[in-house]
Parts: sequence; C-alpha cells; structure tokens
Amino acid sequence: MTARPAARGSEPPRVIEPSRRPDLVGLAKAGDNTAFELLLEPLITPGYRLALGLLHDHNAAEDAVQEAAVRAWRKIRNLREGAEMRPWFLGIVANQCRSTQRSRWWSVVKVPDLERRAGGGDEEVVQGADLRSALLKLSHADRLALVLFYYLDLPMDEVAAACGSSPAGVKKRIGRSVHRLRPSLQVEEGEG
Amino acid sequence: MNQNSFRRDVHRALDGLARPVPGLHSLSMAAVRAKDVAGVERGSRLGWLAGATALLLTLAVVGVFQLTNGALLGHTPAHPGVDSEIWVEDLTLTGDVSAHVTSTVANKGAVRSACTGKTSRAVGKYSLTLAFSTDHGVWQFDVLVDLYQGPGTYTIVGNPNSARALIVDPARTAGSHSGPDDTMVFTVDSTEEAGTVSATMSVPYLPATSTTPETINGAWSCRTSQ
Repeated sequence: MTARPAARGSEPPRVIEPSRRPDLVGLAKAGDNTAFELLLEPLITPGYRLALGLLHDHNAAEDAVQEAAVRAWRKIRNLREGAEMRPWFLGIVANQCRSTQRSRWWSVVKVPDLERRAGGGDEEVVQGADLRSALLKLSHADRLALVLFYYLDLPMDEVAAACGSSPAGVKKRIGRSVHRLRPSLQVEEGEG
Repeated sequence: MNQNSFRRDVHRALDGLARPVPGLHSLSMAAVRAKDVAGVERGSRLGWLAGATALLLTLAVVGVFQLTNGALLGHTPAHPGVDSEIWVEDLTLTGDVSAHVTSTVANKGAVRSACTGKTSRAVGKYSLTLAFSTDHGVWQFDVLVDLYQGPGTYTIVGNPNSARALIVDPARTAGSHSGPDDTMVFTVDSTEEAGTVSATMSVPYLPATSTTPETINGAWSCRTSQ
C-alpha cells in the first residue's frame, strides 16, 4: 500500500549489493533512521525468537523486541567500531527480557499461565512443556546462553558477544546448563 | 540424546510457542520514529520544558499506537488502556467470517478497538483495530498503513509490506491477512477518525492452515464523540 502521493511504497525494493554496501552503522549513528531500519530488519526475527526462548510468551516477546528496537536506536552510538550488530542487538533484547521477567506482572500473572498451558495431554506437547519448564528454572544468564546456542543456532563467539562473556566462559556455562537439564531431559552420559 | 537431538528438542519445544510476526519490524520502527518525533532521544538540545512536553507527546502517541495495534503488538501490560466508546461501523464481511458489522464491542481484555487517529501523522503510520461480534464469535480487524501522510486514499501498489490488513480471532488461532496478490483500498477522511475500506485477505494467519479469502467492504469509524 502506498501513500496518497506515492511515497516509498511505489519504489522498487531496496537491494544493497555487498560490494557497494554503505556504512549503515555509520549512517545510523549519524541519525539516519532509514539506515537503522535496514540494519534492524534482519534482526527482528532472531530477536523475537530469543525473546520467545527467554519469556515463553508470544505477546511479551513481541513487546520486548519493540522496546529493544527503541533502546537500540537510542544507544546506536554506543555500538563499538567493528562490532557486529546482531549480538549487540540480541544483548539488548536479552536485557529487555530480563526487565520483563523482573516485573510483578510477569511473575504474578504469566508464570501460572505457563503452568496451566503445560497441562496438555498430547505427549509431544507434554515433552515440549517439560523442556520449557526446565529451561525456565535456569537462571537468566544460563537460559540466554542455551537459547542463543541451541535455538538461534549462533556460533559460540556470537553467543559470547551477546552474553557479554568470553567464548570459553560461555561454553562452560552452556555445558553446566545442559548438565543441569540432563535429569529432566534424560540426556545420556557423555553427550550434550 | 546427543547435542543435535537436544538442539532439535529445543527447537520443537520453543517453536510450539511461536506465532507469525508479519508486522513486527514495521511496528518496531514505528515505535522508534514515535520516540524521535518527541525529540527526547539522541542528544536533543531541547530545554527541559520542551523536553517534558515532548515526552508527554511521546507517551500519548506511543500509548495510543500500542493500544491500537492490540492484535499485532499483543496486549502490553505497561499500557492497560482505557475502554473506548462503541463505534458505529458499516462493514460487510465475506469468507469464513460472513457478517454485517454495525458497531464495535466494548473493550475487554484482549478484545480491543482503537486507532491512532489524529496522532497518526506524528507517528508516520495509521493503525486501526476494530473488534466486533458476529455469528462466528468476536473478531478483530486490523489495518496498518506505513508511510501515512494524512487524509486520503491508500492502495497497495507493488509493496504489500507497506500496509497490511488482518482479521483474526482474539485468541489468534484463526484468521487471514493481506498478501502480495490481494487488493486493498483504505481511505481516511479529513477527521482522520473515519473512512472506507475495501480489502481482500487471502493469506492464512497461521502457517499450514487453509482459509477462504476474507473480504471486507464498507465504512469504518473510530470517532469517539459522535
């Protein structure tokens, strides 16, 4: 749908060739919100998946991503030279999710909702609910590392960047978390 | 269980909670622009008084905007909202939901009607959500116009992502939204609180479901004072 005097809606799709890729981060830092929009677009789905993995609630995940987008725009000047946008933005999403979880609304209303939802009869649903329940029992930092690595399938260095940790440190954290989940997940020894 | 099977189980467990988020990027950018309108971000040189005024404007714009987008944004606990008056509509729906809608229903829980109205130009988006009762239960109809520039006619021309129409039940278990092959004409009159709509929504709201293309035609209103 385009605006009444045809605006961007009638323009051809914006395709940026790698060889001619402008410095979108630089433009965004200078206040160009179109550049920021282009930077943000591929990060929305990973951001949503991360928020969903941390909060286990669709609506709260959507809200967290929008709040994170606003925070990212405010803080884009803090993005270090040469730093990757994706782990930086995912770190903001993670912080937003932690704030959401700390709120009274989340702890009082949403957790019982989750428990009630987990009471389905289908075996697969129950197994999924068991795993989700086990994930929710982890600390925020442990769950963040697990979700980034096992759900978003990010490489370890990006997981570390999003977690604000070293690759070695986050690898240990993931190992400990998987080990903690093993009893409920019936993970065999020597794997994971 | 090896690492790959654990990864697969994590995907399966969390994908079961996921829903389509077709408008999330646009809505996120709308929120960013709404904050910018107030000039309180990114080192504004406004004095504290101007800043406070702008902050109030931001809160009003963002609050109304988020309420308006109930179906796309989800219910935001930080913005409990206010009950709107009942709005008079004259809309005809065909498809899985076939009805003639003459009014919205009272806001309650996830069932909400709202529109950005006169604040839309500041946001750069027009968002309308109408909740109404039919023989098939309560449904919500949403329109989101990107690049809103004021009263006028908005039609899909080559860029279906710049505007969307969506009809969905409040639990978001069924419905459909506009796609690249759909047509849509959405008009906004000079009050920015009423107009007409003619839209086809052929894409199932949830993947892997089938639906009869839904059409909606007629006059809409979100006028709070009749």
